[in-house]
Amino acid sequence: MRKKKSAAVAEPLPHAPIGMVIGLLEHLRLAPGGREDLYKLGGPLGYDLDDLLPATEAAKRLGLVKVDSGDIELTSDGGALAEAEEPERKKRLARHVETLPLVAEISRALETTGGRAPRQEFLDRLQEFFSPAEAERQLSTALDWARYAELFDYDPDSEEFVRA
Amino acid sequence: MPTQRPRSYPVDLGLLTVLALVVLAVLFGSTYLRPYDSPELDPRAALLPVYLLRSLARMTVAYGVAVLLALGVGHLAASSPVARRVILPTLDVLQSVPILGFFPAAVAVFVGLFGPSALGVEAAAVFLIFTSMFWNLAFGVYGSLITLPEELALAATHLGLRGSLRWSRLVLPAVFPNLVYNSILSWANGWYFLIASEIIAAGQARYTLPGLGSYLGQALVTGQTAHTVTALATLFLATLGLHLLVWGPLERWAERFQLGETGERPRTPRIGRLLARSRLVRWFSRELVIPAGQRAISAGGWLMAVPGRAGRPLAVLVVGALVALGVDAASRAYALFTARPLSADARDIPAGLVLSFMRVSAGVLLAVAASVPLAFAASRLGSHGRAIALTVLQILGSFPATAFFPLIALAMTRFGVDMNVGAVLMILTGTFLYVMFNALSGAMAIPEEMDEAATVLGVRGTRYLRHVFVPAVLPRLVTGCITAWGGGWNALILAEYVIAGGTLYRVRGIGATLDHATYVTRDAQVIVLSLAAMVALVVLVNRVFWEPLYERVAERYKMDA
Amino acid sequence: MISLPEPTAAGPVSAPPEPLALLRMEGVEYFYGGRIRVLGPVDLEVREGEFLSFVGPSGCGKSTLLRIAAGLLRPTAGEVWLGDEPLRGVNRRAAVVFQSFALFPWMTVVDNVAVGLEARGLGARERLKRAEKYIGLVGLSGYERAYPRELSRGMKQLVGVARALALEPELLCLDEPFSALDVLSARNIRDLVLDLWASPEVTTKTILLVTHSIEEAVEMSDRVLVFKANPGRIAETVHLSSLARPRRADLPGVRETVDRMYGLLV
Repeated sequence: MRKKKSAAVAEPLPHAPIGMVIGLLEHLRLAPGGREDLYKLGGPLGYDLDDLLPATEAAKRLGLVKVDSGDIELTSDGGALAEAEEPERKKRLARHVETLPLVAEISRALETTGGRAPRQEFLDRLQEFFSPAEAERQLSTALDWARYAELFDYDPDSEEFVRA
Repeated sequence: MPTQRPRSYPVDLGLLTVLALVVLAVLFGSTYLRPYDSPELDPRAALLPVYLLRSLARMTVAYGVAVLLALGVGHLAASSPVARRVILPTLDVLQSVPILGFFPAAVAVFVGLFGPSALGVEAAAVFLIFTSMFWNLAFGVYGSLITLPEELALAATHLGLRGSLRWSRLVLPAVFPNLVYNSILSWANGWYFLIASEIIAAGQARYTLPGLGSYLGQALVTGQTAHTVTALATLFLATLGLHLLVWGPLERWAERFQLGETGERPRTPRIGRLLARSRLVRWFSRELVIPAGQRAISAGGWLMAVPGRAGRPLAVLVVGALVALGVDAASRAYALFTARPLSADARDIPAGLVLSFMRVSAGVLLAVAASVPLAFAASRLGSHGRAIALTVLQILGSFPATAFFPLIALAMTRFGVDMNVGAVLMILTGTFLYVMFNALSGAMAIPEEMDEAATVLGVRGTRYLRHVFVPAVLPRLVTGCITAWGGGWNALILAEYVIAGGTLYRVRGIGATLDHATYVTRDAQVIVLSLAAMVALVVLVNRVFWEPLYERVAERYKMDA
Repeated sequence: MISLPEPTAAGPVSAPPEPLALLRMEGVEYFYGGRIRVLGPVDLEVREGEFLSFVGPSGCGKSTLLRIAAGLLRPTAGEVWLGDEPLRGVNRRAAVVFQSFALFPWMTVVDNVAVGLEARGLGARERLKRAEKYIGLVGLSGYERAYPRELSRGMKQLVGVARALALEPELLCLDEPFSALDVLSARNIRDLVLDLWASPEVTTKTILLVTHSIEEAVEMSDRVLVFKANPGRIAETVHLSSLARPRRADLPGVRETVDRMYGLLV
């Protein structure tokens, strides 16, 4: 059982700021049928490849888009999210972000330790699968998404994740 | 700084304790004003912690004064073009002055103020340490404020940040990283002068202040190896402890204050990082260092705003006082030199100056000759090796090498070597580390791609040294030489006139002339003339040689292409 | 070129009352280093409730003029009036959003937004409440404790906007706020600013925008002052309140206006 959970965390989060993912969804909302050729995305959004790939990957991981045969399309969840206004949008996104293994582990830890979970422990965990630099990036990305979804936050003085 | 400041009990407790101690000292401090005997230090090792604490206290007071003054002076120079034109050159000249040269005069002043009591002598010691810490702090503050982005300062003005709020939200945070970096350097300098400050010779009396430096000095002179070793070990542990518990956490916290992207920093060695992760260090950092730092910034903001409120009247007062002092000094000097004709010692000054100049130059050249190959070797070591090398250098830099001068003198006689060699060796202790440190950091700054290109092109060995390595480190090397030049002169003053085991070891030079006049003949004319000659020479060489050299080198060998 | 007031649909034609001038400049000139004329003489007014833009090439002094309006620079000659009073020192009824964001890197988002309030003497609890309100309004809830370096550029500018709005100014000054941003963030923040301008949650109803993009000026403003350089001066005033909002650059009326303004400048 533990082995299986470890493996889940081992799949790296794509490093896209959540703002870009949202931008992608809003752009797709305006396209007919919520569908667009992948190659057409770069121009209008002003993103280059280094930004676009993680953003589409992230949207895919969150279950908000699907990609096939060179096209990218909003899923029904993705479409609903793109249509929604704040704070509805945040709530919907939170539901998706929560399912990511790393985010889920941190949330769980916060529940059991009374609202404070040292960052170092998660770093050590991730370093079983990633280099130290990559592990840091994973946590930064997870934190950025969790902050937007208001799932949890970070206290840099004590170096702990804290409840939002 | 946070909108809601968390309570920090350890810091509050610490502050209360300090306050209580100060009150006690004031109430019972009358003993301090009694005439001071010079006790033989109780050599029991068990007292070492007490001695260490006393030394630390002196360092801390000197440092506190140095920081506050550096903030005031640096800020003034950065904000007022008029002030800048006066302050910067003055600082430049003053920092070239070999501190130890002025020390006897300073002692006389403080003893005159407070009487020959413990307070007077302590004040003199603190002053000496202060002068070794102040300059780089002041320049650092000035440098960080000059490079503050214009829109940030504008935003602060527009948001209404004035007075103490502007200091605590803008100025102090902006200078903080540089301040921490320079504080580490200043403390290293301070430890070096610790021994010189705790064993003060003034006139016929020798005042010894109880402390780690004097303990070490006494142990060395009386040949007690066991005590020497324990004292050195204590010093080592103290500097290590400071690095771990204070400077390390402060450096890490200071990263938050960086404007712009953090540049290439040498990575701390693994053992350093492991130790830093320990619970003790993390607790210390979180509960003490960081809250104390935040308090310091708020309190500092309030404090630094006070002169601002006094504004123009205060500036006039200060300038007036300085002018008055200048006039007084000038009239005294006039009286001094018209009272009687120059003595033989005074007329020996030019010759002594030339000899001393040669010795210091030798010290700098030797330091360069040793540093370049060593830096080259160290740079081949890979990032861990280099980080360890840097840490070792930092710790060595705190070492009061001046304690070993008597030993060197004795060794020279033992092996029948000319004392001139001994003097140069002693001077080398004041030059080598500056050059080495800079050479190493210059070596580490060589971009990897340059190295790779050299390898691909088949440039190796001495060709590499000549065409790649030396040109690349040259700018930093010159910077190191400039500092070493000043450090060498300081060492010179002690090196040309050494008392070891009851015998005086002396060579012909301006340092010896100065010391002889200070301790033996008390000839004020000689003192003033030799100091003036030394200062003039040091400043002249700076202006005419080092600074133009640096400009040429920095321009030509910039790492930009 | 001044447009006549719009006739009302029914009833006698009557001129609507002239909106109050929030800020007025008379004969304002600015010399750099006391000798080089950068700007002026300029006469203009900023009317309450309007969205006013300054447009022009680099060096025409538009940013300088914004800083004079905000009280960050003193004009070398001329007078600036805030209502009936001459402006002395920093304009406390205005707030500025800077091109380079100008966030304090050592403060969290919430502290950055609150620092201006601290300078005005608000208590800690009140500051926190107001800061959180405006952080929420710009859509950065959840990022209160983040540091600027952890944010994308668009988010940093959102903090800049929140910080300015938290002062609850009468006049919001935007100094080329989008030129350092990518296309998407710029569009989002532009829309946000227009939304907040219309929103009852925000008391700021007068906005001054400095931009080098004609499209941007046309998309957002009621009135545009077109500047020329050497020396900086107002060449033309363009009234756009008749163009319906929201405006997209590809709509017909908008495109013509943009074309016309390019013609004026070149």
